[in-house]
Amino acid sequence: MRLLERFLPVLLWSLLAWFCTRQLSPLGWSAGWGVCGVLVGAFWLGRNKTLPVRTGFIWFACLALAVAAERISHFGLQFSWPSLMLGSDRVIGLSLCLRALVYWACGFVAIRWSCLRRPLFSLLESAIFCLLMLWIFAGHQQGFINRPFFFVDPIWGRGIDPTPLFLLVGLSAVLVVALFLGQGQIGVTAEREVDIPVGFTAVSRPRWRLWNVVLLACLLGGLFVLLPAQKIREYSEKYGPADGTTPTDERRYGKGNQKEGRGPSGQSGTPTPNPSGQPARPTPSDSGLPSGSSPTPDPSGTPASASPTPGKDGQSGNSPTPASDGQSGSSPSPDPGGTPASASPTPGQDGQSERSPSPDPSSASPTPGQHGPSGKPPSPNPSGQPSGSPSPSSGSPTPNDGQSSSPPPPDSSASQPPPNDQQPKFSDSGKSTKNQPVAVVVFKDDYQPECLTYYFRQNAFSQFNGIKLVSSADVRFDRDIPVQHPTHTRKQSTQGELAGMQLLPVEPENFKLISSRVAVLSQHFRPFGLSNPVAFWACPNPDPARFQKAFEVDSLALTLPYQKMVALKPGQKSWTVSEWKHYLEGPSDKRYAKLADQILQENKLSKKSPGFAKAVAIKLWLDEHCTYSLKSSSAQSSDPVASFLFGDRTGYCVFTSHAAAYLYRAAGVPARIAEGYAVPSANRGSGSALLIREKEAHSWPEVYFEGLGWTALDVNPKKSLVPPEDQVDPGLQQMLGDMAREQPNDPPPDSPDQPHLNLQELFKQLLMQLLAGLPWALGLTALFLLGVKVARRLRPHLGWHSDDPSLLFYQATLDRLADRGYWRRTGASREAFAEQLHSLVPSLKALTVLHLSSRLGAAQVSSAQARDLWKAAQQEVNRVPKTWRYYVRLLNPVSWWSVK
Amino acid sequence: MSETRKELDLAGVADIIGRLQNRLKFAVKGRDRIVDLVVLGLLADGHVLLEDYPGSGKTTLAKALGDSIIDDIADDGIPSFRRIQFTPDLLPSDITGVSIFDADSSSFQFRKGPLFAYVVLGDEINRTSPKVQAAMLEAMAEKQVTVDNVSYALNEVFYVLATQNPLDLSGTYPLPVAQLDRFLFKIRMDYIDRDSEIDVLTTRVDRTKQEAMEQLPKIFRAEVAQAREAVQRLVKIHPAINEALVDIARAVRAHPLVMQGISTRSLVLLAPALQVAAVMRNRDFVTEDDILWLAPYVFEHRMALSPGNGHVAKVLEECMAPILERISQSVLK
Repeated sequence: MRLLERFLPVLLWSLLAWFCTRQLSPLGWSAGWGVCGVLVGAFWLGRNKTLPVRTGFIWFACLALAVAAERISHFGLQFSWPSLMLGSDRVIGLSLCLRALVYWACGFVAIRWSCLRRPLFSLLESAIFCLLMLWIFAGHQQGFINRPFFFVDPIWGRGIDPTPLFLLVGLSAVLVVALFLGQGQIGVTAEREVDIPVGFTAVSRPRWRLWNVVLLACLLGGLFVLLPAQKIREYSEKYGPADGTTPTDERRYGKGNQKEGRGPSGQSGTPTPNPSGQPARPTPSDSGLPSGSSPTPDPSGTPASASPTPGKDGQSGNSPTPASDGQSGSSPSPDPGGTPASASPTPGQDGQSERSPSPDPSSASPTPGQHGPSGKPPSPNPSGQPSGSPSPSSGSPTPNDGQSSSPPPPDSSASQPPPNDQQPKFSDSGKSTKNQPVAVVVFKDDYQPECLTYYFRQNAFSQFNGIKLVSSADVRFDRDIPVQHPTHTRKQSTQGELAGMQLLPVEPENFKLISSRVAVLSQHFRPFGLSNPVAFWACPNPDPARFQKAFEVDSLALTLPYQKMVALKPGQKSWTVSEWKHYLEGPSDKRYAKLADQILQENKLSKKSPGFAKAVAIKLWLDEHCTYSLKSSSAQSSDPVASFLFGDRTGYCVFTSHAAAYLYRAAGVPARIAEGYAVPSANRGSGSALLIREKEAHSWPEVYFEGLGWTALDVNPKKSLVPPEDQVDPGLQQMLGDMAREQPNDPPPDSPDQPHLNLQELFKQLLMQLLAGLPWALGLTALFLLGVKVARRLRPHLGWHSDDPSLLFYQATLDRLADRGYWRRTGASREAFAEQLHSLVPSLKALTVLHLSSRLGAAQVSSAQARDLWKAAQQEVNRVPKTWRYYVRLLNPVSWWSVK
Repeated sequence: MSETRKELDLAGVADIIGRLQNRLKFAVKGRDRIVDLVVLGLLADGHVLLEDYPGSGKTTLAKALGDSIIDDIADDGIPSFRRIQFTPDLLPSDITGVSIFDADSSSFQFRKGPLFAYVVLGDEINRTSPKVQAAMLEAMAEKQVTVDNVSYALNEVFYVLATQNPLDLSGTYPLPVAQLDRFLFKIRMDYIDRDSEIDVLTTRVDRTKQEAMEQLPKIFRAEVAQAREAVQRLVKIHPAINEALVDIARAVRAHPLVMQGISTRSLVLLAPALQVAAVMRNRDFVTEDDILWLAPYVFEHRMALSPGNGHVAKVLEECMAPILERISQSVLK
């Protein structure tokens, strides 16, 4: 036990050195040198702890040594010859190690030395220790389970969950601190007791106990205030409930790591199970994954795709490795034609074009040259079957695809709105069809759209690229899309922000201004609102634990009845020829025009008919003849829209919207495709809140009429292969809506638990206030105390006599002595003190006795006698040589406080 | 002799103390601390237990003390100094005295034992049987001995210096707590320093020095009693000091490590000792410094700690420090 006490500080410091050096230094093994430094320091200190030098000297020496080490290690890098002789990596390594060694040795010696000499330094030591440890684990504490890297990576690499380990570390740290504080055993080594070795341990003194309890309370209070509780709550909410993809992900990443050994260190950030990245994980990390780089032909498809398709990039060369992807490893699909793509759980897009296409066994012959002109692989895999009989992919849903029961979103970007260059994809990768809420909209005005659907436009595509519509790079087109989040609140400016939009010239009487508040639950790069948004305001996040962001939108919602739209002219008068051309451009395929003519004729309409009537006729025809499905055989076609429209007409919104847009354009109506969310108005029910779920991501065709701007004219196929969708949970919708409302100012009366007291915030504010007031309070107190000091000093001169003159003069003498650094230590009697100072101030003894006799004895002390003694003592005190400390003590406002 | 009859003032007391100290310090080298305490005990009317190794000058000290008191009533058969060597087979009557049948008067005559003296040195008191120790106890507490149901008063200047060997404990009867409580002081003696030891060796053969001591002024027996009375009368004990004494006693009793605290009698014994201490320091009032000086000698042998727990001195210091500090500070207010 004694041995443990002796070596415990060295042990703790070694631990600290290892952690810190490991955290700071890129070289793993330099941490060992940090530990060596501590051991060297401990050895030196053990030998020399009774060295008769001052603490300040030791500090100075340690500092000098550290600076010297820094310079020496710098020399190695300054000149070229050491690198030439040893190799630059070795020079850097050596300098790092030298620094670690010397820094830690010096730091250890300086602090331990001080602790041995002055008990108060052990407080400093404890504080340094705690702070450094906290710093090391601070990254982790923010909810990132994978920090510190050097600590977690090896553990993850072995497939062990480090969470319990962290809990253990934290718990033991708290226990150790509590133990030390409780026993009053941190430090407290007095000058006389240098033989008591090194100590976080040492003599226990009962009078420290109260102080320790106060310290502990402060520590806990500080932790309570400073701990990011919200982050922790967020983290636990996201991490705790397993939502379908998390385990898959975990397994995938775990597997990828295991199988391929260690990923490069740059990727150590990615194999995190942190599901907060689930919806919002930046896509690049996805493609950077080792597992993602190996596209996955299904094991069964291996023989067919043995000849790599030139359409893919070179990475497919390593594709035949079976189960190289965790996805296929975790769920090997028994279906020979099963599309593993549909099981790919990542929402990322980059890897999708490689990962999702499963080469159809029957269509393995590569067909190069069928890519779109844009150069990107626009459609997944070149497939030789434009309109085959129901292909295996759509005909037989893969059994492992647990998500196929819900309709897929229009494209893969449902949960993550794409950047500008992202285009809708004709790929039926059924994913992110969860009921996961992505946003909640709270309407402030009543509005029921005539088309029974709320459209929230996020992006628009109008540029025809030969196959499909993509977003236009030309600044003239589609500028009514907001591109950035608003920054001003309604309080800051009454004028809403355009957020990068250019408003379209519309007739205000056709619209109603609707104010709403949107709170998004997953990350969105741009704001969106009920079509058509005209102004945005930022607003404080009502519940940061739940919402990513919130903003307010003013929208012009269409109120013009459809009957009256017939009179409107398509397009805008001010449009130039090139603009008209842009919005009317469609495939060169003659079949579109033919089909459009055929539809118009069926409805007894001609080219001259009003544009709106033509568009409606086309929409109704498509409603009649299309079938809504989650899977489309046309997805793998080289011209998916044609394949869809002139084939089985079975598909989902990307197909219907494209088909409709091409037909509108063929009929002379300017059209484009919008992307965003479309929520049936039935979902809203009677409340003012509307919940947007991931599965309500949609793309729809829009037409342009003068005075209306872009108006959704969506296709609703009458036939559907999709089972009726489940209803939105009104309770959830209501709850989220209540949360998204403005809270602090006008808490809704029907939710009494809303304005709950945020204790933490309160404490934090209180702490801040206290900290802000502290300097003033300290300054004023010091000033007051100095005033008292001066008054006490002047008192005998001014002749302020109390009842007991001896007391006055005795005190005055003691004050003077305190300024010189002499005051009675607790435990010594006053006579002992006078005796001790007898050589310096002989009169003190007489003065003491005089005072005591007036106090404890019965004697009446004459003022003159006391004054004479005081004067004598004063002169003797003045003869004591002054050191610089005297002048410091002169300014010490509480020197008289130590007079006892 | 007539001048001792008049009431002494504190200067007179200090003079008596000075004379005693001079003689004793001359006789026993390097024992100033103990000499002070022994003189203090004599004037405070409290007995002293010396704990030391054999051959450290205890007897010399006691004998010198006895020699310093002039036996001015020569015919009462009470000498100024007696030494009793306690042995296991000693009987109470050996120390108290015994009634002897006088054939002449056909009656029992009481023959005084060695307790009838001014200064009694009880050597190795823990070697004798409890019976003898009990007789000793009565004598020390009551200043009388009872033989055959007749009590005989001892001299008013009855002063016991007892010794015991701290190491050689086999075959001893350790003093019970009740008896330890009768001693005002228990003083542990250390080996004397080098110079004093050399001094002892040089003066051993120096006859002139032995004679020089005889020349030093002695004190009269009556002066002791007068000094005791004068100290009681003239030295002031502030109420704060009495409070502090009681508080210390209570703090010691309440201390978790202490099994047996200090008695009220010890406080009663301590009070005159403090007064003498004040006189020895040229004061006519008691201060906390006196408590600080005497408390260890008075309290330590009365306290018993639970086994294996620290030192008595440390516990006492812990208990005293805040209380004494309080008086020190209260006086400044």
